[in-house]
Parts: sequence; structure tokens; C-alpha cells
Amino acid sequence: MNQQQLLALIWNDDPTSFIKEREESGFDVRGINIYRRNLLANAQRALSITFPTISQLLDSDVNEILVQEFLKKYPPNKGDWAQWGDEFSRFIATNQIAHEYAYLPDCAELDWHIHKALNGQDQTLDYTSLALLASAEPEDISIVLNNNVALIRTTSPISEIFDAHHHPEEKQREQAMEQAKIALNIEPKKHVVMIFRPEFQPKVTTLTDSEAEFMFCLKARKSLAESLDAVSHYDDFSFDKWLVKAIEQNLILHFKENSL
Amino acid sequence: MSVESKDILIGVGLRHVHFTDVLTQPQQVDFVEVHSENFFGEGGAALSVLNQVREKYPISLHSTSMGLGSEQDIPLHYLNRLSKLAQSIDPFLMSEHACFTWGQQQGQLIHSGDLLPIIHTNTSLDRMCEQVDKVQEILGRQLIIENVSAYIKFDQSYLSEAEFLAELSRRTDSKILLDINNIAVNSINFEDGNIKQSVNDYINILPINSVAQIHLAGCTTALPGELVVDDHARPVSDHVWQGYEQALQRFGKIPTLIEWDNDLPEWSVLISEADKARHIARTVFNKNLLNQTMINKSVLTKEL
Repeated sequence: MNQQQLLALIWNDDPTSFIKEREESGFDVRGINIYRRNLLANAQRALSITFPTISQLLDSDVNEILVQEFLKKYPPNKGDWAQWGDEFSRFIATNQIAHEYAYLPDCAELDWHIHKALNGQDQTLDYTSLALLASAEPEDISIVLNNNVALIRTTSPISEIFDAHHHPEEKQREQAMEQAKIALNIEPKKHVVMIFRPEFQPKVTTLTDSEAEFMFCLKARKSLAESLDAVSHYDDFSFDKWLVKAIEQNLILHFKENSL
Repeated sequence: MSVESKDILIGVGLRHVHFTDVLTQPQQVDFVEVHSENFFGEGGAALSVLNQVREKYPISLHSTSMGLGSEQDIPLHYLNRLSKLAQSIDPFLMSEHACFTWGQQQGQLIHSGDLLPIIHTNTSLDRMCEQVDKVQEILGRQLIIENVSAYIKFDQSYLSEAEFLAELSRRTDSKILLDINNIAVNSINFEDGNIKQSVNDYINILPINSVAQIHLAGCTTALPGELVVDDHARPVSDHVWQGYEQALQRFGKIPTLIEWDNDLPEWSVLISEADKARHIARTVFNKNLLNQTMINKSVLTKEL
């Protein structure tokens, strides 16, 4: 038996063909079952670490059948369980479970972005680039965002659900749970949730419509002038205030002159 | 980083739950070992902690995913990450397992997520030599390669694992990481369970200067009729301590690590396991020294 055949035997999730293949291989069924159980346990543990909200929503563990299906469809290929799960949100969206709990795919996407930010490159603002704001015109300036900033468009109260499970203070968790329950019982509203990493711990916040539109423009590498134009019809957007907050939240990597 | 000591170096495996302990408590071991893949992130708190630990302890990087025995090539993305980590941490030891991990499923690259056993033949030896040479060249460092616990046996193998590793070491200038518990697990699962004899047979095949590190671990006892699983979830067993003594007597003062990966105990328990290893090593070497002194005295007496 070659390595491919052994792998196929361990990954086989069809009970009938497994019995036949295992018998043909001549391997001790106890040994093969150890490898099969290890695979499932490792995958389950990895998903529970990377997707802690999903894990808690699904009663402390990611369901074995769900893990098995995900393993089969999107097998790990990086040699690091922590890098496995990029497709989990899309996978859940196509699973029966999302019909019952429509917010799960977006919760999974939030978990994934937080996980990525947690292990993302350590980046802070290049303060010297701020001088561009005084020396160049807005149409010639781009704002390059920190790699650990991610935006999610959603209609589900994912930020509240996240806080309900992970906020360090119990009272805040209870409050977030109440808010999430209320939001799930009213007409869904489109909004944008942002993930950012001020220091080591990623944070989650819900953006106003104007902030969201401005951030999407920056993500698309539009110039500062174009980005400001896009939010000019909002009454509540102030670039000065946004800038102070963006520096506090470590959203910006640097300012860049477009001609350069 | 190179570490030199006249005494034996004793270390422990460092996992996330003990980060605070290792940074806040006085130095109690000679080095710590981490799993390379746990630090494959581009940045973040874990990597920052590892850099702080590095200021206090020599670090050994132990990889678990490289799959040196894979028929499939080890992907470059994996080797690049490992190489980057090695450059930034500058470990004093780098190790991996004599197993396979990479393969394909429906034309797609997959990683097994486990240390899968290999056939021990000249063909598989050639293949592993090729991979070890390549990895050592990319890393610019010598690899230390560990024997593994296996739960299946290949009828096609005509070399023992010890013969395989000895030859691998000779041909690639790599070294051997001798895991006593893995020998014990295989002895219980596939031999007659006479661990002392199994360790003895194994170590006698390995050349004296080929072993660069020893791993010690414990695992949960199997239910009757079941195979033992090397879960690294228990203190080191008496059989493994005995095997450790045998290995020290043959190979000398080899850096030794206590591994514990599941159901992790308090840091103090890990340290006490390390202390026990040190005590055993000192007893073995003091006894050897005493024997040597007595031999020298008797030679002198005869000459006089």
C-alpha cells in the first residue's frame, strides 16, 4: 500500500467502502481507527479554536458531522491547523444548519477575520507620512490601511453575538445577548462590522453608514478626495474626527502620495 | 544560537497555557521547546511572547508537519514559513519526525494533520534522504529527526526504524531525536511489551554520536485489547525513565526534553518532571565517573 492509499483510507467517510478498503489493506482496524479519530479530533479542535463563537453557538463544540464534511470538501493543505478555515463561512452558508440559524455564516466570517488579525503582521502607523496631509492635495493622497483591518457587510447582529460570548465583563455579555435577541426578532438591517487590532487583541465595532462607505473606499485604494466625495452627502461624517479615531484604533498603515 | 554546557541540558515543552509562568518565574530548566507551526503567524501576541522567552531561554524548534518521508514534495510555502521562523528565533536545535504528512486527494494537495508512519525500505530511505538534504539546505541548519509512534505496521518494511534512522543520519549528516516513549508505545503495540529490551535493541543499532536529543513523555494506558495511543497526557512512566537511563549510558549527556501536550498540568509539575530527569542523569553520570575512577585506581595499583 502506498501513502496515497493510506491517506484515502484514513479520510474515507463512506462506511461501506471503508470496510472493504481496510480489509484489502490488511492493516489492523484499531490502528486505522486511531488515525481516523485523531484526524477528526484535531480538525474539531482547530475549528473550535479558530471559530470560538461558532463553537459556543453550536453548544461548545463544532459538530462532528459538520467537521467531517468540511474536512472532505476543504482539506487542510498548509501544514498548520491555524491556517485552515478560510472557506468555513461559505461552507456553513450552504449547510442545512444555516437555514435554521441564518446568522451563523457571518458569525463564522467574523471569527475568521479576528483569528487572522490575531496572528497578523504587527503594524503601526508611520507617523511621518501624516505630513502628506499638509503638503499634498487630497486627490493625490491614498490612505493605506493596516492589514489587520477587515470589513464585513451583514444583516445579522454579529457584533452583539460576538460580545455576548466573548466580552470580558459578564454584565456586558448579558447586555449584548439581549441586544442580539432583539435584533434577531426585528426586520434585518444591512450594516458593516469592522475588525481592527489596536495592539495585540483584535476588536470589533459596528460602523455608521458613512464610516463604512469611507472605509470601503479606502480599502478599494481610492484617493482621499474620491473617498471624501463618496461620503459628502452624509451629515455625520467628519474627516478630522475620523482621523483621530483611526489613529487610536490603529487603522492606518501610512499615507501615500499617488503620483509616487 | 549555540548552547554549551558541561552538565546535561534538560528542557520542557512550552505550550500557550504556560506562557505567563515561563516569563514570570525564575529560570528552572535549561531550554524550552515549542512546536514551530504554533508560531507560523506573521505577528501577534504569541510570536511576541516567543521573542521574550528567547531572551530568557535557549529555544528548540520542534516541527510536526514537515512530513520528511512524504512521497509528495514538501510545499515551499511551508518551508518558507519555517525558514522565516528559524531565522528570527535562531533555535539551538531544530527537529522533525520520520513520518509522512503530505499527499493528494482528487488532485489537490492535502496535509494529513498527523504523523503517519512510513515503510522502511531503501527506496523510502532514498526519498527521505533527498527531502532532508533539501530542507537542511534551505534552512542552513542540521535537522534532528525523531522516531515515531505508529499504530499500523507495513509488511513491506525490511529495515527496522533504528536501522533506517542510523543510515539516514549517516547519509544526510542529520542527527537523531530519540523518543523513548515512542519506542515504548511501539513495543507494547507491536512487540512483546518488554520495553527494556526494545529500548536496548533500538539504541544499540544507533551509532554513539548520532543522537542529539532525547524526548521523554507519558501516555494513557490502553484498555484491554486496544492499542496504546501516544497522547502525551501523563507523567513519564517508570519504563520510560528506565529506558532513559539506558540511553544516557550509551549516548552520554544528550539534551533531554519533557513533552506534555494534552491535559496539561501546572508548570510546577512539568518542572518536577524535568528535575527528575536531571536527577537520573546526574546519578548515571556520577556512577559512571565513580566506576571510571575505580578502574583508574585499579590500573594504577596494578602498575605500582
